[in-house]
Amino acid sequence: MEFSLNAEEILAIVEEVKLNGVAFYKHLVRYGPKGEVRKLLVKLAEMEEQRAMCFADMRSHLSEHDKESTVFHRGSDEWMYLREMLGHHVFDVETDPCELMHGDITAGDVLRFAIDKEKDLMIFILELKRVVLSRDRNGQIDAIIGEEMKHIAELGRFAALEEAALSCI
Amino acid sequence: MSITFNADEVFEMAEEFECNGANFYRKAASFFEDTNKCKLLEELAVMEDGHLAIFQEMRAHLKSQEKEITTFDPDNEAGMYLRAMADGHVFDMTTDPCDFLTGNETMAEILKKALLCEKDSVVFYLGIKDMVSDSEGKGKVEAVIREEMGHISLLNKHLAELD
Repeated sequence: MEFSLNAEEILAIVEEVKLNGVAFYKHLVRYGPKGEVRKLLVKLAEMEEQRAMCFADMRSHLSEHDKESTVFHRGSDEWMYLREMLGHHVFDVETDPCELMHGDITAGDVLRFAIDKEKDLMIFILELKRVVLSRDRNGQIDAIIGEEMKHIAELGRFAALEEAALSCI
Repeated sequence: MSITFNADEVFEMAEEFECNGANFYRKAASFFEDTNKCKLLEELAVMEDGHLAIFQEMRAHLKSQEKEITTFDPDNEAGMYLRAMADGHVFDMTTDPCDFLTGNETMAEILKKALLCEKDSVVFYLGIKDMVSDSEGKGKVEAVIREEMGHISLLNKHLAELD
């Protein structure tokens, strides 16, 4: 059994994840956080939107070669990884993050969730770089990884501020 | 405001990651009589030993001036990233993953915990990769990242087989 996927399809999945991220952060803004939290969430939504646009741009500039399907053979590491990734072991691209928001969720919970999602996405992007995209696209993928690292650093900084604020209560 | 931390401490953290990882896999292996499960966990432990040796070597070769406090510009992305790692808000450096193991875990539970640890290590090592130059061993860090990515792939493969 074989499983095929081309770069265009995978980039579309990443773009969808990023747009889910936009919806997630915008949804959190509507939950009513104030001040610094609100500003950060608005900024993160904007950044996710920019990354979604970046992936869309990459997708629009793919060569015909990149659009050809890469066939993964059943049992190969790449086939298993991508299948499991798509099968939600690494992250669930079919679940909108907004669906996870219910009950008494704290800012700390939200940040932990967001950081975990960024880590999952980072791993996925690294895997994409390794198995699917041609070398001439690596520069763009590295730029996206750099953006994701900055994003994680900002989330970590905010988590530190949140913890400091809580310790003052 | 500047952010200061020590390059030596960053490598020490990497060593701790690998040491904890190897201990985790060995302790988990001791819970199973099944040869295949033990073999998988022992092999992963040996690979973590190899990564530990790489980071120990890189740390040993740090020049004395590099072992002293390094000041990172707050706008420096690599500095910000490593600071977030060192602060413990991206992942918990204070808890030994072995503490998770009681002996009652299933193989799936162990693999899922290992998957989380492996992902954390990749995320952390990306920051180290940005910190070191080609001559200081950027390629070695990249090789460790590739191997950890291989572990993630392997763990996912075995998790899928358990489903």
